[in-house]
Amino acid sequence: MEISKSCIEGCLRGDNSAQRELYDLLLPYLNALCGRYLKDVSHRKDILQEAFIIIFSSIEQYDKQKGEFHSWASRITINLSLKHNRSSRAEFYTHIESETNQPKVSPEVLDQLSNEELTRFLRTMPAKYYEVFNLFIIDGFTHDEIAEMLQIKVSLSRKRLARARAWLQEKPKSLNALLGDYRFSIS
Amino acid sequence: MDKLEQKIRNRLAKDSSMAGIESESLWNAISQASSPAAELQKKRRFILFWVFGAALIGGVVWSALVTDENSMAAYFPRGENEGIQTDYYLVSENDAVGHEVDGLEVSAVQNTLNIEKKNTKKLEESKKPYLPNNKKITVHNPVRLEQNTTQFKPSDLDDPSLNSVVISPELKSEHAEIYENFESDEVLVLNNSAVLVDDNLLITNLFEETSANRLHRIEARESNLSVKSYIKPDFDQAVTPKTKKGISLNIYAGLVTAQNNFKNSSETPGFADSLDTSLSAELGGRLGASYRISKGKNWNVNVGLEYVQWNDRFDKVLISDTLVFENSGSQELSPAINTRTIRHYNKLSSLTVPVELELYKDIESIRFGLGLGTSYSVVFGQEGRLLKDELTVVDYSQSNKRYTNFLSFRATPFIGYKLSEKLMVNALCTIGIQSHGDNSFTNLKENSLTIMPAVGVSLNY
Repeated sequence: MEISKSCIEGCLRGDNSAQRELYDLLLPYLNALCGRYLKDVSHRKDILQEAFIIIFSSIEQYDKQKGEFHSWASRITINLSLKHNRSSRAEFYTHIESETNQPKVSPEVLDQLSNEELTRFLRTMPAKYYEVFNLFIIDGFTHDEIAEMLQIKVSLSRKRLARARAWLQEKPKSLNALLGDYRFSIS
Repeated sequence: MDKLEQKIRNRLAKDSSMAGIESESLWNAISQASSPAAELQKKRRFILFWVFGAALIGGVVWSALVTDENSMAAYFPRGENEGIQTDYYLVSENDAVGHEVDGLEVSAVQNTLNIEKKNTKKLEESKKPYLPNNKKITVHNPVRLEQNTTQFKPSDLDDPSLNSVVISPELKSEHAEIYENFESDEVLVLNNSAVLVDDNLLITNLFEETSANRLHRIEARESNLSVKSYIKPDFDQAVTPKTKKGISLNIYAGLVTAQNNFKNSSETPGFADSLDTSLSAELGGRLGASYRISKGKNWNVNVGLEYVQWNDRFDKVLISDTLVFENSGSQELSPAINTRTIRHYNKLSSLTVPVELELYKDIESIRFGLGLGTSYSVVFGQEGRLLKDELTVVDYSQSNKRYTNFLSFRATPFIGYKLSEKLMVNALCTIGIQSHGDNSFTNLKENSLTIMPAVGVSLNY
C-alpha cells in the first residue's frame, strides 16, 4: 500500500482533500481488519469512524522511522477493535458442528476459499485463541505487544497461540465441512 | 510458522474489502465529527457535564453532612464576641427529674438565652416557676449540653447532715427575686418540676442558669468544597499507538470518619484512657481527584490530591451534687446528682496527596481493585477543644496544634462499573492509619484510623 508523502503532509496541514485521499486508500484495508477483529462486525462503521478521527487528529505522532503509515493506522484500528470487544458482550458467532474422522486440512484447501470464508472458518476457533492467532500469525505482532494489547501475560499469549495452532491442526473437519455441505449455510 | 499458517497470513494480512461499509456516508460522518466546530461543541458539552456532575456530588455530600446534625433544629447565630464564630446553638427544655414538660425552646443569641413571652405564660399556667435569676447567661464554650439530669439520692435523705440543710436567707431572697422577675421578659431558664437550690450551683452561673435544659450546638460548617472543573484533554491524545500507558482521571467524594486513640506516657499514666473514652467519631467529608496511570496489565499508579475534613467530638461530663425540691409546691429539699455532658466539636482540614499502587481485575464491565499506598497530609486548619489534663479543657487551633502534618498508610478497595470505554463509576472505601505524634498541650501520642467511603467517576483518555 503506497501512501505518498505529500498526502501525509497534506493531512498534517489539515487539508481536506488530502484527508479524503488517505481515507480512500486506507478504508478497504482497515475495513477488512475490522472484519477480522470485531466480534460484532455490525459495529465496524463506528470503529472505522473513530479510527479515522484519531488518525487525522494525531497524525503528527506518526513516526515514519518506526514503520509504514498503514501499519500505524492498522494498530489504531486493532486497538479500538479489541477495546470494543472487551466492552461488548458479543461473542464470535460462527459455530460449526464438528464431524469425526475428517482428513487433515492441507494448505491447498485454502485456495478454494474466499478470504471472507477463510475468516469465518478461523472465527470458529475459541475467541481468545482467535485473537492471538490473528495478532501473531496474520498481523505479525510479538507476544510482548500482544500481551500489552490484550492486557494479558506474555506466557498466556504464548499458551493461547499454541492452543490456536493445535486447534488448527486438530479441527480440520470444520474446514472440510465448510468446503462441503456447510459451505453456504454459515451465517 | 508452518505452511498452512503462512498461507493464511498471505491471504489475510493484506486483505482489503469494502463489504458492509458505505464509503460516502462514513466519510461525511468523519468530516463532521473532526471539524473544529464539532470539537469545540464536544468540549463545551464535556465541561458542562463535569461541572454539573461535580456540583451534584458536592451538593449530596454537603447536604448529608449538614442534615446529619441540623435536622429538626432551628438555630440562631452565635455572638460575635465568641472565639469561634461559626458555631450556632439552640436550647430546648429538658425534664430534669423525669416529669413531662411542655416543649420550650430557648434560643441563644449573642450568648444570651431569652425566653419569649409565650413561654412565660406556660409557666404561669404550670404555676411551678423557678427563676434562678434574671441575669443574661454568658455561655463560654461552643458546646452542646447534651445531658443534664438531676437525680434524687434517696439514700442521702437519711443522712442526718442533710437534714440540717438550711436554706440561706440569700437563697430565699433570691427566690423572692425570682418571683419578682417572673414578669420580666429576661427570664432565662425554666423548670416546672424541680428547683435547684444548691449553693454550689448557685455559684456557678452556667450550671444553674441552664439547669434542666439541653443546649444543642449546631455547627455551621463553612464549606470549602471546591468544584474543580475539568477540561477534557484533546481527543487527539486518546487511544493512539504511541500512548502505551493509559491515564485516567478520577474524581470522587464521600464521607470520613476518624477514630482517634491516645497513648499513655509515663508522665501522665491513665490520662490517655480518659481522653479516648471522651472522644467520639463524627462524620466528615472528602473530595478528591487523582490520576490513575497504567503501569502494567493489571496494575496502576494512583496519584492525586484530596481535601479532607475530619470531625470528632469531645464529651466532657460534669457531675455535681445538688439539692432539689421534691415537688413544685414543696419547700423540702432533697439531695440529688446533677450530671451534665458538654460536647465539644472538633474539626481538622487537610490537603492530602495520596500515592497508591493499584491492582485490579476486570470481569465483564465490572472492575474490582485494591489500592495500597501512602499519603501525606498537610493540615491547614484545625480547631476544637480537648483535655489538657484530667480537669482542664483547652482550646486548640492551628497555632496551638493538636495535629501536625502526618503520613498515612492506606488501603483502598474499590469496585467500578464501566458505563463506556471512557467512563466508569466507582465506589471506594479508603482505610488509613496514621500517627500524629505529640501535640502541643497534652504531650500524648495520638494515632488514628480513618474510614473514608466515597463514590466517584473515572475518565479514561
